[in-house]
Amino acid sequence: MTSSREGDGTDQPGEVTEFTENPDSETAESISTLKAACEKTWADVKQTQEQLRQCQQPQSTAHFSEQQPLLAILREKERRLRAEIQVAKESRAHTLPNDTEVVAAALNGELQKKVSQLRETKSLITAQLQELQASIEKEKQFEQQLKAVHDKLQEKCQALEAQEPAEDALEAVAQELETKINAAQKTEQTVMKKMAAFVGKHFPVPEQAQASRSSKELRPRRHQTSQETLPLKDILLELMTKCVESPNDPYMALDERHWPAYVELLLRCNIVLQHPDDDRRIKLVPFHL
Amino acid sequence: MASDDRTLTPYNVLPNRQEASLLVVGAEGVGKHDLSLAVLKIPVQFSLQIRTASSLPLPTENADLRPRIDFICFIMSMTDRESIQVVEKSLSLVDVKYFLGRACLVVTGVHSHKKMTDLDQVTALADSFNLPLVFGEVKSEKERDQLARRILTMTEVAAGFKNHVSPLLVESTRLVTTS
Repeated sequence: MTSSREGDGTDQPGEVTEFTENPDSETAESISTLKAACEKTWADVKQTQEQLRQCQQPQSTAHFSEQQPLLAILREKERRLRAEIQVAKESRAHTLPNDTEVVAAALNGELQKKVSQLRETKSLITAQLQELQASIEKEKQFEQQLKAVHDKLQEKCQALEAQEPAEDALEAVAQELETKINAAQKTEQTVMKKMAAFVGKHFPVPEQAQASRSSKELRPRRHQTSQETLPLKDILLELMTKCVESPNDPYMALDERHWPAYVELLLRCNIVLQHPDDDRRIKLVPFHL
Repeated sequence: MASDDRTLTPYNVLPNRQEASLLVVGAEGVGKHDLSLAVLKIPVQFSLQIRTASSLPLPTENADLRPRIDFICFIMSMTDRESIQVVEKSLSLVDVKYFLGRACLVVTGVHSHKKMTDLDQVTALADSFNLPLVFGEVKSEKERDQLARRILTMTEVAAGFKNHVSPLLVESTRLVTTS
């Protein structure tokens, strides 16, 4: 067999090694014929190598233009392909020598190789088959789960469609909220009235004489009466307004109008707190927080 | 010319029976020895010799003792610019006959973040020399074994152990995308 490779001695040495297992006179003959054939082929190889070396010129890709080593490679490829095609056309099929022993041994070896290859293939294919079956099972389960989900969703869709339209629900909610607001406002009014009444009854406006007495002036000032002291009710109202309306500045500044006794009362009952930096400012304790 | 002596040629020496020889070229630290050990671990019917070189041209001291190089494997890493330069230089010192299916380019470090070069550059280099391009990571064991297996099959074909299959046959079945 001539191949495009320069030498081929790899087939027949393999066959020789199989023979050494049963030495026999006939086999000895076959061995010697095979060996002779081997040596002849090897001599051919050496001759070809010599010829090759003589007409060989090593060319590196750098010899051709630097930008196009591909050109040189492709050219070389073309040459070699032509050569291989020619060799393939002209080569005759390789026949084993007519010796029966050789033929039998060769066939035996081939058969064993084929058997082992087929065994491997078989194990591979059974493994693949099992994998595929397992994946089919998984997919089936997945499909069932998805179907169940799909059915449930459809049921839910239908139920939603059967319900009353959503617009009425909004109106109903709005109505509820309005009634709640009204009720809350009413309660607020009643509570405020009660508180005002209570505070007005038990914490009346101090008389001018009392107010002027508590202030430490020796001579009562004329302008003192221009501002009347506030009843506790008004102080409380102002505090509450400030607390609710402007939560970031709930402090109320104390005036002469505020009777200090009331302020002290509120402070002691922990209803109001003083500003940490400024004693003249007080705020309502945020009970709703 | 002086460069003639330095270029590697495939047909200088007679091939030895049941032997194959593989040359691995790459800069330092790119993973040549790890890869060679992985290739050697695969059991084969013939005796495989692997030689490593950090750059071509090969030193001339052992030129006579060297067997025929069946296959050349150029390794470069995308994170190391020097390895790319080494490979580019070595490529021009190899005989044309090696590029007909007896050489390949292995590129490592494709997934790393510190890439010094573009993928386009690498493919351009491989295309300009018509080299089959193999990507792999020498550090991960699984990829290293796969890489070793591929290189081994290519070496076997180049050494002629597969009957009727010549390296050029394999090369011509390779898909080449023209840009």
